[in-house]
Amino acid sequence: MRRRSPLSILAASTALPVAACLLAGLAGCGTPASQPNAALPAGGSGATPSVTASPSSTLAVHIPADYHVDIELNPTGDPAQDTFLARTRDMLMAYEQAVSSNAPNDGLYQSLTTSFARGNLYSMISVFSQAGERPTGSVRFYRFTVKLTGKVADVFFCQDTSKVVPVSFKTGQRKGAAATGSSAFSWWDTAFKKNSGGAWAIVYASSLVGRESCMS
Amino acid sequence: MHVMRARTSRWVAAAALLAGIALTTGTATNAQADGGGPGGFWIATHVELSGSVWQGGGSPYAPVGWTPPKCWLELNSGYGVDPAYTPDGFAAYMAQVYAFYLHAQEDSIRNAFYAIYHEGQGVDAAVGLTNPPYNQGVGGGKWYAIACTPDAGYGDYAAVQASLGVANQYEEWFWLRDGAPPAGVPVIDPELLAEYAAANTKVTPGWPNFSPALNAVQTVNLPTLITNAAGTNGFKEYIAVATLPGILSSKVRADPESVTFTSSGPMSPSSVTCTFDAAGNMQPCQLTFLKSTPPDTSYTITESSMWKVTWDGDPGAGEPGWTRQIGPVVLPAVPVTVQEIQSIVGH
Repeated sequence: MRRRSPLSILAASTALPVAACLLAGLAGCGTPASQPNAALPAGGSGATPSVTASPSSTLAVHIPADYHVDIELNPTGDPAQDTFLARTRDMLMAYEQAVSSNAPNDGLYQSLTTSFARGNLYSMISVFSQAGERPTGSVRFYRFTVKLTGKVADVFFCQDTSKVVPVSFKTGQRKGAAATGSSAFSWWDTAFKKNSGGAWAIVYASSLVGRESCMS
Repeated sequence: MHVMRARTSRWVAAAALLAGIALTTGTATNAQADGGGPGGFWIATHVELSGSVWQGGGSPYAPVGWTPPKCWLELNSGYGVDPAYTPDGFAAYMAQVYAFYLHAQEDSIRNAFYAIYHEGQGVDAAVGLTNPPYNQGVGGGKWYAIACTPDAGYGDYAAVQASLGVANQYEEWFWLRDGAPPAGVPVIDPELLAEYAAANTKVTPGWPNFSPALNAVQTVNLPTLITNAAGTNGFKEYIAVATLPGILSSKVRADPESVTFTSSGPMSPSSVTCTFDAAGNMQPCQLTFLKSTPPDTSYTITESSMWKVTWDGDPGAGEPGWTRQIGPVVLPAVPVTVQEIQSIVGH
């Protein structure tokens, strides 16, 4: 469900947060627009910055051209569920932008999430920034499901990182091999809950590595 | 949770984060696999699964007639604080929590936790905080946290919070007096561990012995015999273990109960189920194809098996144990060719 867009970097970095907030009615959108994105690393033509946007979203993010993010969403026919899925997609793209730019405090993902979701994503992004790494290759998010429990909507899905290769953020030099076996597969939960204003907010996000059942 | 042990922790080593130490050991170490991180709030249990299990949850088998636990109360642990469930330990643990959220620039979360657990402000009775901060000096109890299986979501977590009678999302830890579990919310014990193991047990059956073999041509109206000696073709005993490190462990064993075969072509009976005895031997059974396959085509035959998972109980606690059922375990269909009997006429 993701494809590359030829949008300009300038347009992406200036218009994005506002558009995302307007479209999604996001909680937390009262915060300032995203911080300037960290400079992308040198490291050859493969690391030339590009802009990626999801087909049905105006969200535009900065992700290096040598890193492909595939988010396999299929419409459910239920408008509410489709909205949760679309917002999860946007959160993932914002997360990947922060990871790719080694920016744990990137304003985009922070504008799309609240509470524990922000803290957890910060923690996950910090793993990359502290290691001085960014991902290259391709990552795939798939098998999305939505589950309503009480006042919470959980969006579950798999992540396949078997084609993701870490490189040095500074030099672009390869820093390891792609994960193999079940270690390459993660299980995500993104949870939405209505805030005091009645708007659905992403309150929780987690990723557990080693989900064997995502391999089949 | 995390990083160090991809699936199991709840709060993590913020101290390492603050010290600038990259927590990149273990399975979720770097850009290879996203997951966890050096801090944050994670609902996943510390319980580890080993043996023949679906790592990371997601078992495709259904529990038959029973419901595995989703969330429970588990002794608080994490951040390298051991133990983290005593008042002093919990204080040290919470210091790490505060540090993480300050570092993450999430002051509102830090402040909410501090107000509840350090100051005792607006705390619900269910939390059990009678002597803030952290029930310092209070004996006869321990700090617990809600923990959930990988298959549970934040909604399940929130439901447990509601069951405990708290309305504040930041009330994440609960002081339980020893021997006084809260009503309606399970506290981890050997039986719960066994259920968790049973729900995640992985079995890998193959195909029993068919005569004629499945890859040979079958004959219309001639029985195909199905046999399987104990322990062969993947119809054996599997062991799964659930462990709360350093505290509790439970082991279950899964054994085949029955295996059922159906075909896309007509056969008699239309579905045949073969059962296993206590020694693991399959009782011989048979099926008969009733019609030949059209030229250049084949039928498919499908296998699905049911398994019984047994926990021997906890003699020390007087728990007798149980046997639960999981399944069906469905194998990919295989093609089978059937022909009419060929008459051989000699001269």
